[in-house]
Amino acid sequence: MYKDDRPIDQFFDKEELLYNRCLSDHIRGNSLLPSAIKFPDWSVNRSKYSDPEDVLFPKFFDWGIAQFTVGDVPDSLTSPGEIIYNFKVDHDPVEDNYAHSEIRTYKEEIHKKDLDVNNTVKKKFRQILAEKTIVIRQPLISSHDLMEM
Amino acid sequence: MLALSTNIEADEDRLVTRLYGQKGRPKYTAPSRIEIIGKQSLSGSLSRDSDFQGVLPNEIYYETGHHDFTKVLRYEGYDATDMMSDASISSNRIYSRGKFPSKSGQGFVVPRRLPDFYFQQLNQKVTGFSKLPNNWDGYGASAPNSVSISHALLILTILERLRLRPSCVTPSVENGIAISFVKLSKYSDMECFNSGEVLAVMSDGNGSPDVWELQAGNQEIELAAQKIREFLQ
Repeated sequence: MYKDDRPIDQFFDKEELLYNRCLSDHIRGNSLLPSAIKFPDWSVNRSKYSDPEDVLFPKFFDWGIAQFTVGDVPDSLTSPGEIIYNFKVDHDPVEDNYAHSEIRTYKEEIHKKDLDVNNTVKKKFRQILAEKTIVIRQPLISSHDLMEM
Repeated sequence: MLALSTNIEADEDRLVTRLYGQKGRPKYTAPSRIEIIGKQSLSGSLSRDSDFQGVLPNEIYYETGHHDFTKVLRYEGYDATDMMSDASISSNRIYSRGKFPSKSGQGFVVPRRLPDFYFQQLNQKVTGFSKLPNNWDGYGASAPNSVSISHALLILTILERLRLRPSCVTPSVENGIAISFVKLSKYSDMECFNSGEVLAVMSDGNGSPDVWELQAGNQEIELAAQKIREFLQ
């Protein structure tokens, strides 16, 4: 999992799988609810350099795992004000996780942290992507188990 | 006393009550009319239960979402206060058993007062979300704050009044609370963000969800709920 000296690999096959962890209350049927999907940038692990269970490190071993493909990520969405937002999967390795990637939102081809995105675009994106997800490992815990008593 | 059992099963928007008798019991002539007391509406049929000599309403529908189930139904000519009933509830079913006086031509069904536990549970869950630690998802999500919680509770109050049951409530990784409706391939939710915004979505899974923003006021939430109800039908 460690990055070591490996370079960024920006090539993603459309069929490559992406993984994320999930709680039991964020699952309906065999898919994630949109409330489990982060925006405008969402951290995932790519299958080319990791196993699904790697998303559970270092302390999330009771969580579940959801997957989807790179091709499931919408290419773009247009806001009611005709602003086009593009979405890309970027390889973003971190020191202890070479597989780490991000689904990023680009506004007029520019990506920046805390991008201000139209609310309806945000909501649509999360809905569309949620419908593409498949839960491959059932979680053992829910948000209730995380609560501070 | 003539023993009868009433099974009350709850689904999304109605209760179905079935009355069952016991073989070998004395003749029982059930009333021909059922009177509704309270705000519940009633539909159903009077038909013959094979265990009984006489006509008995064996299937009664009344809508859920109303807290006061006491004196829901009364058979003609009988004082409802004599009814003995017992009820228990599980996550999605209400079980009720009742004993009926054996007076010929008279009787009644009075389910015990049953608060809508489903919405009570959802309300408790929403309130409890404030106990989530910050960064509960490991990616920086904040716990729902007082703004999103109060909006979610308002929505639940309106949904209860409209008798529209959501499938679940969940904390959102986008900092807030989602109230979701799932029916086969159809999905809808109203998501309350900590920022105060409320957005709704309806999707039939074809990749073109309908999204709109609403003000957290009674009227807009009610309209959104009606729209969602129609969509789910």
